[in-house]
Amino acid sequence: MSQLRLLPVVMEGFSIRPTLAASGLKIALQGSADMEARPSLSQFVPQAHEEAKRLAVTEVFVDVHELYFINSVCLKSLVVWIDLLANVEPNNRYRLTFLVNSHLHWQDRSILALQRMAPDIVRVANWKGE
Amino acid sequence: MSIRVVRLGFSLPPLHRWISPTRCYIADILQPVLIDNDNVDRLAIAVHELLENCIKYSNGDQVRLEFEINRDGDEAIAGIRTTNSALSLHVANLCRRIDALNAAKDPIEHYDEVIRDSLIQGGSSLGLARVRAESNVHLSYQIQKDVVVVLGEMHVRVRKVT
Repeated sequence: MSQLRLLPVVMEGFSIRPTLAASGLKIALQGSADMEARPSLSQFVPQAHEEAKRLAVTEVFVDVHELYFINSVCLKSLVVWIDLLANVEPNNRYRLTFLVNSHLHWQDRSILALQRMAPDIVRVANWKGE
Repeated sequence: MSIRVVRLGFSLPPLHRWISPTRCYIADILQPVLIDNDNVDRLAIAVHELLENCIKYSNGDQVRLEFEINRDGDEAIAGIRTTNSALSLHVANLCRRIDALNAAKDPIEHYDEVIRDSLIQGGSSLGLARVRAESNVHLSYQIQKDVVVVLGEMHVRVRKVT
């Protein structure tokens, strides 16, 4: 498998950590995604999408189990990601799976709203450890 | 008889760096007060989104956030109130969005529609619809000249003090 061409983003209170595994591309969002995080996340999303296409992965896992808050502006970046994916030729699409933390109640509502956008390409699963 | 359980008031400069600490502070105060942690999350999101809007569109040198919970018997209502001055264009836009929210039959369907529309329009514009749909907070507003007051209300369950 090719080497990953995505750099992690580490800020005070928020990070994005991409890794490549046999199961697919994994993007861990951690901390609090607020106004400070918005430029980094909105820049990262199209890069991650392009990288997933370049690597021809079948699944991208967005691990949000340690994401304690997301504001609507950052949520919009994830909306854009789903839209980018929905506009890819069906045969070349990967599946976007959000790994959620059942103890963080907001995730049920916010991530389900994302899934409702495109239930055939967005999946929500409980995070069960590494 | 109504009992005031929580009352907080903040006058802040309209700077983004105040939003997250204010949300965390209010959430910490609510943890031992509310029975349901889910409601703490819902109110934290509502406080964040409303304060963020208030700061984003403020054209003054200060904004105000007030938060309170009042209990009457077994019923309790959490209230969020943001006050800021803003350009008339932004005031009209806010009123239009809140009117649309309140006219919608189903807040979730309306939220989904706003999410789809946000892909066509610039900016996020999801905040108010998110507060209504995800936090289950009912929104209203009062306008006086260029001063906007946004009010959010939500039923909560409060722990009984023994």
